[in-house]
Amino acid sequence: MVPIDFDVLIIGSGAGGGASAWGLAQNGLKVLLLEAGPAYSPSEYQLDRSEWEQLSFPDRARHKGRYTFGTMQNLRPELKDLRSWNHLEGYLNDTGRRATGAYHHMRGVGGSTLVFSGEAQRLHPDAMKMRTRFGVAADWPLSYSELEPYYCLAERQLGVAGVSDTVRFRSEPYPLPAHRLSYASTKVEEGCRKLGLNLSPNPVAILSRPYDGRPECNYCAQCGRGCPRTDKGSVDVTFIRQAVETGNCFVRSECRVTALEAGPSDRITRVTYADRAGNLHQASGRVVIVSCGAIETPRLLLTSKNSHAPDGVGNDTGQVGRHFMETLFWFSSGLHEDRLGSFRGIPVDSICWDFNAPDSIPGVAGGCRFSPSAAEADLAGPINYAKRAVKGWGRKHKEAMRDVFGRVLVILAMGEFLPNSKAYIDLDPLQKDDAGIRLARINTFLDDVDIRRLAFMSQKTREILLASGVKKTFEEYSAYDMFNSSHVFGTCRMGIDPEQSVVDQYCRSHRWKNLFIMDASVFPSSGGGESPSLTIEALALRTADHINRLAKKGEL
Amino acid sequence: MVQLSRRELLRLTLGAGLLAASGYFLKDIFHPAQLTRSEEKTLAAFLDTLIPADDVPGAVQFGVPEKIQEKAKRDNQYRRLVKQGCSWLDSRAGRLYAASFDSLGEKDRDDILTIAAEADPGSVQRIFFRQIRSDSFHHYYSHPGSWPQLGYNGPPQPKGFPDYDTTPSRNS
Repeated sequence: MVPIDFDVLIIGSGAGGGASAWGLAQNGLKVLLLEAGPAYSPSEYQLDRSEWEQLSFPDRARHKGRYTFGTMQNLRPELKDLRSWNHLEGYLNDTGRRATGAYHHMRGVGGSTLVFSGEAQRLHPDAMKMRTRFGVAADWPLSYSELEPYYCLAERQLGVAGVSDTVRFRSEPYPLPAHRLSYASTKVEEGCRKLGLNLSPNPVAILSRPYDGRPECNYCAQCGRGCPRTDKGSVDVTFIRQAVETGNCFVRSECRVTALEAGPSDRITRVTYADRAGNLHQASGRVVIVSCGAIETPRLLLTSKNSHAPDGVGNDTGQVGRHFMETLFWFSSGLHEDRLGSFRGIPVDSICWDFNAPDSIPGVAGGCRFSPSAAEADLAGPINYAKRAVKGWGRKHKEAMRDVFGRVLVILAMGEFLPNSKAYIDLDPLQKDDAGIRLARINTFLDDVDIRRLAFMSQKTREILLASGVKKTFEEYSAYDMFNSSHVFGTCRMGIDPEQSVVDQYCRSHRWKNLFIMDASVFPSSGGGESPSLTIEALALRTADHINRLAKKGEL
Repeated sequence: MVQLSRRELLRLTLGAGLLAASGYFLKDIFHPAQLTRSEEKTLAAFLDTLIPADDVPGAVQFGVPEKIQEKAKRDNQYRRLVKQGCSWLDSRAGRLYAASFDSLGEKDRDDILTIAAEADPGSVQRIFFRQIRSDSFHHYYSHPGSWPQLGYNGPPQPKGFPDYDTTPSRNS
């Protein structure tokens, strides 16, 4: 095993790893980007096939990580109104216990941005001060205004299309004009107006004009199955491509890091990784950045034990894995009275921010947001209409399909999830991967405050749907009775106090001087339903700037 | 494609165990014989009931029976379910109408499907009905010939839906 020396090793090539790679490589640092999953080509995506609807993002070896769950909480009989249901099946979880759904993620060059919906939202500035304002979660150790220039930089690299809102200060306009709302979303806009609410274009890393050598979107609504045109700003076709073009960034896919080696002088001396064939290699760098997401990052730190780090790397104060936050969501789906062609457009083209501020839900700390999205509920093609939206069979079913196709309207709500002592990531005591490394175990718990917020989200979602012209819903999905998370946060918290956090405001380990963590595990709070990728990228660019400054001063 | 739930699988396995206890060979349970011609006819009649032809071709015309048979050919568990389901359809048709399922008129076949759809959630007939309903919609609505009746001009790429912000036409 011959060690290979780079300035920076980055483990994981999602939003954090990809943006870090560009931020460092364009400054002349030599970067090795190690990715456990495969590299995809946009030509592999299967949206031109007649059976497209039953094909997910291409299924390849190593494209998902394994994990387990701890004991889930009991469900309360009086909260039946918060259960998931469908008009065909009844309750989708008819047990008395919260179900383990899935941690929806993607391993591959580009990480979960390969399948994200392109949402590129900044955090509400007030959502970064939850401890000061409400005595919950933790404050971010940096302010919105410190992050703002890096939001702008990330938006320019991605080609974000949007319009300014009133609470998120911007120092420059969006690089691209906002997309027009889909015809279906204009119905929701009307419904919101009736309720005194505002629906505005959602900022998205989806090109409204040709940009950066990539074409504009053609509104197929299927970002989640991979964008074959490359107009969606997933990290592989933006930051990583741009990093590789500098000549300073080298990407190794299907290389799974098995351990960080902690050495003397509080430095990570090297990492060990297994290639596709299972052969072990070692690599070292002056800086090591871990960007594996809020479940795999703590797993790697906790399993990397040696005499220098007997409790795992960065875990001297027992903070690694704590403060886990999941995705708090609610979907309601119904049939609109008119044909909408609601399978067309951008998956999540518009957003109601009215309850996004952390003090906007009466009596509950933490905000939420609402958006129309048939595509996010995977109700944007004939097969799922036939299976889920239309009851029965035979001639009546066929006639109903002709009547209802394109009429589904879905409202999606996402909200703040506050950390609590029962929500954390640890190592499964028994289950291991094929390399013999213990799996991450997801222990999670919806506290009363989250349930109350979810109740508000469900009620408001139904009101919006009704006001938008839907008389009756046929399906609702809820985080209450099933864990299903694409956005996970908080397991290596960023903060000033090493007793309460894992990394500092530049995402640098409090102890390990050359170790940085760069993904949503550093988030001290989740935000009020904003998708995290743009904030991860802005943080990564800020951290890269910091590392570049240290390199210039010879302090790496 | 909808997968059988763990509970449904367990129920089927238990059902298989009971069958074994009543004299079937394990081989027939774990490696059931291929579908007979008679079972294929019953399956086709079932699919024709689920998605009949009207002004637009139905499941049979769009080759759905062949797709289900292909899967049954290579998947033992699926084949066992199809065989058990077809057996249930024929026995129910025999009991109610003294005829085979495929010889019944559409109304009578519909009535038998209603019994299957409303049966106990763990019963073979209900599991068979739900699985084949789901699979037949999958295959039928994957067929581009099924799309014009819906005003659907898919698949999503390479054309996309550049008319996304307008009132949908029949060809959106």
